[in-house]
Amino acid sequence: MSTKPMRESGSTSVKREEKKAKVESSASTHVTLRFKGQDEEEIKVFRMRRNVEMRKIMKRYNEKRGVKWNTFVFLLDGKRIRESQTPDELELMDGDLIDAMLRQNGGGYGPSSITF
Amino acid sequence: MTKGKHEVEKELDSSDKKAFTIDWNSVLQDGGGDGKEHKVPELLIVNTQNPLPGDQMDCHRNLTDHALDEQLERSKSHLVKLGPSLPDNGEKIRLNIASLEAEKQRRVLHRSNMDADRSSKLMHASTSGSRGNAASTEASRQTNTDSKEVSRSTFAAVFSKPKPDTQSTKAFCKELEDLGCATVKPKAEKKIVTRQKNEWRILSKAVEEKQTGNHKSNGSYGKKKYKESCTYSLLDDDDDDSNVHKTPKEWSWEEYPSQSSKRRKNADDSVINIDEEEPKPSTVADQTVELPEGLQEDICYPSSDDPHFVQVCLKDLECLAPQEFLNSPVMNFYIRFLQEQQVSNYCHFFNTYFYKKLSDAVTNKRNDKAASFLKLRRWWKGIDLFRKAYIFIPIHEDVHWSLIIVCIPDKEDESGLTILHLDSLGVHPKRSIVENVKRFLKDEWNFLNQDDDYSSNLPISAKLWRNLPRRINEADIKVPQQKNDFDCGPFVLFFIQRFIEEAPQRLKRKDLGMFDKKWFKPDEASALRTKIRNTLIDLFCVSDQTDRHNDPSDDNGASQSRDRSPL
Repeated sequence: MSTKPMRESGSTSVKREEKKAKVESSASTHVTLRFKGQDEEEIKVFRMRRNVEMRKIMKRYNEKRGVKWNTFVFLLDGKRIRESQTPDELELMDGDLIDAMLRQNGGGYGPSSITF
Repeated sequence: MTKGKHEVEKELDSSDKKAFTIDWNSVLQDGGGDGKEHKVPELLIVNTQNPLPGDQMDCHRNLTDHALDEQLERSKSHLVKLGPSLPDNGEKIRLNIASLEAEKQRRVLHRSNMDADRSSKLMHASTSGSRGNAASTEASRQTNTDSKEVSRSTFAAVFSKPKPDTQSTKAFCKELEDLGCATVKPKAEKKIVTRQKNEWRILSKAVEEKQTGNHKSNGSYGKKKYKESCTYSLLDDDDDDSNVHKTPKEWSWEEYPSQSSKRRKNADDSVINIDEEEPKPSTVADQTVELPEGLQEDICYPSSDDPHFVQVCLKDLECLAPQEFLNSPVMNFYIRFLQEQQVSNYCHFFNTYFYKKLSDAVTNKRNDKAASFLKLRRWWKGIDLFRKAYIFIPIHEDVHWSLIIVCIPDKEDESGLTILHLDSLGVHPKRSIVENVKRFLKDEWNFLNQDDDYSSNLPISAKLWRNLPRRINEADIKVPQQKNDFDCGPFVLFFIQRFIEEAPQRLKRKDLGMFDKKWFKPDEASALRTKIRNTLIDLFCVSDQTDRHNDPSDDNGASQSRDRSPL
């Protein structure tokens, strides 16, 4: 999806359209995504190209959190994101919040239980 | 190996049959009848009511290490086979086991030349479980030094208490439960397995490095690290079922009693597991499959194109080893797997991450509550929850899994919704979980109620719909309990599996009878591990072949052209 800014100058409406077109074109190539780790309050914001695999951004997030790849599981509205998918394929929009979830382990008693 | 066998057997038999056998020779030899001065474990184990262990202890001194182990094994198997039929329910055998294990530790103490008394007294002093346990977990998180081993072993010995003690703890725990705290059940000797998010993996590596030759190599699991058993004492007063509670397919943890050099997060490695009733561990399941080499890193199930696919890595398979905690990818995989077997569409399954989001949303007191609920709704976008017969919500909290099933009546039934909470340990705070689920249902009702279109096409009786907020009930049901502290994952999955196999189209009050403690044998649930593991390995193999066939790498541009399907 490419939009060419209009070349005609002069009228303000055209200028406005130009501006809009410029913004759109940038928006159309990139997307701003928010990542929230389940274990913290902070939301990390990333910007990436729409046609690039999510792998890159997922890696960056893991790195920023100081953990190795695959530590976090990324969910969008409960659906898992695969690293080979792109924002376009996932139809992501600016500002979409992606949940970075940690693996849950369970078997028995938790640390907060009172036990011997 | 066979040297001490007969002696061992004889000794054991004699200790079984005679009530208070005192081997005066050994006692006198050791120069201290009760040995309380220098044998810390004994001090701890020996309940003041019964002098027997001390005497037995002295007998054990003369055994070789191997004979000691053998006798320990034998005692345990005797406990299993004979215990229930004995007049004292195997109490003496238990004590014997306790003293055997104490003897083992004594040797460790002795050999490691540490100041056992000092550290053990420290541990001994802290009778409050949580404090002591916290200390031990702290200790266990660090590298395994000998002193820590010592302190842990003695710490462990403290808690191999005989049965009578649990009565009081049972009462205590019951009280706490009533107060709404998440506590441990009467199985008081349980240790806390504090599994930090990834720490346990690191810790286990440390543990492995310290292993003595005691551990068996587990062929079927190949190179997978073999965790030391969580030894513990499970005194189940409820269940009369003397059959095996643990899957015969798993390595019996009995093979890994108090291995003093191996320490996990907690120290009570000499805690007696009374309920593990497998006499001798058979080799791991005939069904267990070897993990082939060179498989790809992960798979997507049912396929990578599926909008709700689940992804499992090779590494995730490790959690299916015996006694490991199941993790979310595996849980979600099997839930999805069960979902795929469904022909009709009348069940909805949420994944393991949903409940946390749900509880955040319904407990949200900020003014963005409406917005946050809207966000939550995207998790089931396009699905009318009230049109389903059952909604499954896995609950994960505090290193434990349990399950919620919401039962929705059909249009002809005005009786109301029923929430079921299935917990194989009874540890999760049932009240607050059910409350959250109730609120969630109310919020959803609230939302849908604003939609006139929806009201004109209700999936349930109009009368019920009108009064829905007041018609959400909880049914108090009992379910089979896990006999260990690591199988809640398989239990949750087995709950789901059995439920969808057996439940009627719509649940009515009378159908609640299907739930009770004897619904299934605990080891059936535990056996699910192997099944899931094999299923996954199959999928890995298949996927591997398909991928090699189609496209060398799944990750490059090829996926883009494939993924045009709507999400």
